[in-house]
Amino acid sequence: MRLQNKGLRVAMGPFNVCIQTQYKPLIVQLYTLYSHYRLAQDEIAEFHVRIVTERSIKNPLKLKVRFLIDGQSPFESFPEDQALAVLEWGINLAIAVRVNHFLLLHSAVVEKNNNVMLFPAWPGSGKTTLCTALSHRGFRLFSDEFGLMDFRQGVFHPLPRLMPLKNESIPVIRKHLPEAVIGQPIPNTHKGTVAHVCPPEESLQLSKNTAKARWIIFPKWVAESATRLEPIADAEAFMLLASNAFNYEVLGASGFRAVAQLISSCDCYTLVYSDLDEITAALHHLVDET
Amino acid sequence: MRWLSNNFHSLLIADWEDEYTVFQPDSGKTHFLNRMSMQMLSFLDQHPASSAEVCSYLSREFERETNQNFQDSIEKILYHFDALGLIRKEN
Repeated sequence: MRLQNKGLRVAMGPFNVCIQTQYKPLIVQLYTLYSHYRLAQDEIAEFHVRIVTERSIKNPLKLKVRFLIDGQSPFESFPEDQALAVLEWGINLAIAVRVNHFLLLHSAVVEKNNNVMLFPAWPGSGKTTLCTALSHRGFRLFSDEFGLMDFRQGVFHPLPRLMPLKNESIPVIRKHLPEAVIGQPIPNTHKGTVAHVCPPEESLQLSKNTAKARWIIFPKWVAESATRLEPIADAEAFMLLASNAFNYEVLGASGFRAVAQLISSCDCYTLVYSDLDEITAALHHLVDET
Repeated sequence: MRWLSNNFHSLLIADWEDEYTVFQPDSGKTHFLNRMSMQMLSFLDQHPASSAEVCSYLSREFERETNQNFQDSIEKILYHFDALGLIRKEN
């Protein structure tokens, strides 16, 4: 009922997101996929988002959905069966555009032994697939999309959100992680077919626990490739990481100092991989030998 | 014509063992410099110098022969630095 009326306030890492919709199929999906998230009904919400339905004049029989943030619509409308994907993209957009009190890296992030491992990469590098696999095999999920660094404290904040697998990665993860909770595939989006994986419950329960970064790994999925994890020069890693941040230029000198601090405190690698078992073992080994 | 550095003191410099990342507050840009480029900026911060003097200094520091190729590449870097606002021509 809250989703339909004032909105449901959901804690997502350091943020609370107020979600409101009257679109019943989306409500059903949210109650399933968000069931382990903490509710923050009496707390301030940083983001107020809505999914509303509409009909076009050209095709009044076809229902469409629109994402709104603070009543404004940053996207066009989408087919109704894409409501969940549109909501998730919209929340990501809001975070990417509005959050400037953190250094915001475009990165998958996991944690083990209280050390954070970053996988900065642009779309198509396989970071969501890798992150999904690792977060179900001994690593704690921070985020498949955002590295949120509090540059005053030098720590990363978890932001465990649904992980949108795309296309071929959906059957790969279904086979690799039969225990994973995966939503219904959403076909024909602008990214192809998308299916959302629930973060492991433990990652959600620990989503207030910050940690410092220890490894920065620039991943690239290449079909049939052997796993190659190779050290990279600090200066090169610096430039790669800075160019990967959403708000590096906005932060100016603070962004430079934050990236310099990160590079100084982390071991940096490039990674080529294709086999999830192999890379999971290699990364556990990397953690254990540190 | 002589060159001199432009607000060298304002640059934030991170040293990564002979490679440098440099934040330039005037432009908000970050640059990647090797040791020779950094030496060039540092030299021009000490005193204005012509392209020939910069070449001569760098050839001594890095034990390089000052042939035409070397001079051309130094000249190219000087003009690039000028375009970035890292150095300027002396008035």
